[in-house]
Amino acid sequence: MSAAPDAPLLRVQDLVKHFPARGVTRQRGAVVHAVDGVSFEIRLGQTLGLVGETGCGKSTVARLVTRLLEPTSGRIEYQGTDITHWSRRRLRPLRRQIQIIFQDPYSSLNPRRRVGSIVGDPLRAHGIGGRSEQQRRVAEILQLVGLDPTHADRYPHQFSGGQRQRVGVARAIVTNPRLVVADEPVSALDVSIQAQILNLVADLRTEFGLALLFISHDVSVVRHVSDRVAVMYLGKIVELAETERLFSAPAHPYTAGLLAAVPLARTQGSRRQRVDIPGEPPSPLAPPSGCRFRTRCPFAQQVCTEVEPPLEPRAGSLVACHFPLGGGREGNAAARVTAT
Amino acid sequence: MRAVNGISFSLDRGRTLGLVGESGSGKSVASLTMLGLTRSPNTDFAGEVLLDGVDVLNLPETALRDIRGRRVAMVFQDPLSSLHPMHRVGWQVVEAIQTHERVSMKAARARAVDLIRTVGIPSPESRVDAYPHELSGGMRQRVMIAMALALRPEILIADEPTSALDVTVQAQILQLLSRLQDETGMALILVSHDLGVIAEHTDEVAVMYAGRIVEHGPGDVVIGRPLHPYTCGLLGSIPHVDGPRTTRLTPIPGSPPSAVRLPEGCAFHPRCVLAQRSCELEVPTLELVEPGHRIACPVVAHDRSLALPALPAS
Repeated sequence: MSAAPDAPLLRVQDLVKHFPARGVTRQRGAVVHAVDGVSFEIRLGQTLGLVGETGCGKSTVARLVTRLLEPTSGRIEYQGTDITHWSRRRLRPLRRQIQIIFQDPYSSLNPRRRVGSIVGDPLRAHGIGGRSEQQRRVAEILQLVGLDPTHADRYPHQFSGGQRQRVGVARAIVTNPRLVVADEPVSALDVSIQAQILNLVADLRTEFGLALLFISHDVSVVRHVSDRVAVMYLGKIVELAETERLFSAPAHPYTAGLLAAVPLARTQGSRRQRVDIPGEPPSPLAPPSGCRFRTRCPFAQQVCTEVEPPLEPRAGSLVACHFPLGGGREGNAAARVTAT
Repeated sequence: MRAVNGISFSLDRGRTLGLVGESGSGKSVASLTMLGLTRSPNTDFAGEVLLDGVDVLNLPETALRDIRGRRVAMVFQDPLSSLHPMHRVGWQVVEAIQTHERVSMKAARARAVDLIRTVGIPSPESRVDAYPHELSGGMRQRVMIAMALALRPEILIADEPTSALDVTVQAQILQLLSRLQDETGMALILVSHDLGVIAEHTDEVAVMYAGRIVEHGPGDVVIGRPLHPYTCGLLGSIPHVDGPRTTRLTPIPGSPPSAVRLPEGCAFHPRCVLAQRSCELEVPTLELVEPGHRIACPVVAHDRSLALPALPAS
């Protein structure tokens, strides 16, 4: 595959994934709008954070981008080549370049296989190197992620949660991938261990210069690791901006409310008095007309129920809102949401 | 296995105590034990839980049952497994009331509707007849709080009440708890692994590690200028949503010990950068380092200048 010289490593355009609704109470033909027109791109050496609450579709994006799920419509380009409809067979050689790290270090490792063989799997699957070379590579990678290479013959249950997640990371990077999708990689871990894994991911990113799609519900974690951040709400990206910009001057009311809702582990005088985003996200079975956030938005007007706001460039970021916040400096936007 | 070991604290009416710690630190077992819920033939426990001067744990089961719910109530992490899936939520609130008070069905139901309104569930007259699966996670947790409040308890123990919820809903539930506390004057014990939740919603904080309290004091002191190496390590491990952006966190090395095989001496010493020879020998006790602020670390207690920075390097 020859890439256009300046093409992003990954480009996703208008990606849509609908699932048929299941369960006895659902009417026939009902559709879950899990991902509803998502576009973004990532370059080598860059990290894009994807943040959102339960059910916003962020994990579905991870599975679409890695082609583990078939998109309903839209386009996925890897190094400038459309791979959206490539067959499994055709995708195989690409799989060593695109890897995924899962959330749960317990269920994502086969309990009956030794750690060395779990980490070596991708090498065998892609026929990379001979047997002794593979063993050497596994030892090298285990060392790199901070595990003792002599523990390669141990089973997953002999490791702690943090160590297991290191195994998951080792398996993802053993083939020298160019794109790694990390789906909530630290959410199952205690904070002291979470910090170890976040530092590890940062080191690997520098070492390998790879492109990283980092998915999390935790906005503080996303801020820490990402160059740019996309905020998802009910299957759509509502705001996409450079990390500094998004956190200092959020333009979408949802972003502002999401940031303001995070409790701060520090003391600044008394408790902050805040009014947060009311209610809960509507069902993705029947998303609201117009802007999907309007049912919880303090600034919603008539037009928001009628016209869906497109994701448009605005002062250096992309925002999908008829009445974006700001013009203001730091904290202004959040303050406006807080004041309602 | 010693899940909880030598925990002491006291709590006044209207105040909030935060119990913070990682998985397995014993914070949930401590809160269950306060209600006598870990009493069983296979469990040993020692110590006393005084409620207005009366030792709760020595009471017979019937008397204890009367205290649970009526004077001390509890909200758990996962509302879906705490609510009965096949009963309407209103009925479950009614049951809580009728277990402890002789009131008519009609009066109990009216109170249930009131409670469901108080906890911020819209259209309470119809929601009272909903089944748990028909409500969202946040609404279910509100129902749990309504049940806990049904008998106007003096103490509410909330064990990770928002850990299963999204952050915007978490903010709503925590605000609800604060509001109800202001209205009723009840004391609140908030158990959480989230330092942000603890910092924003408690007056007093106890940090637990391997079954013991390692640091205890006013919230702004413990979170603002902690002294115990474990507390400092926890605060250095978390990225922040505001302030200078961190490029590197300062994690605590290693992982928490298993409660079945705790290290000798101070349980934290294998992970502690300040550990000395003496830390391996003696289990540290809580020492007063300044008014109201106690730490279980003789090294820092004797030389405060050794305390670690509690912020990630930026």
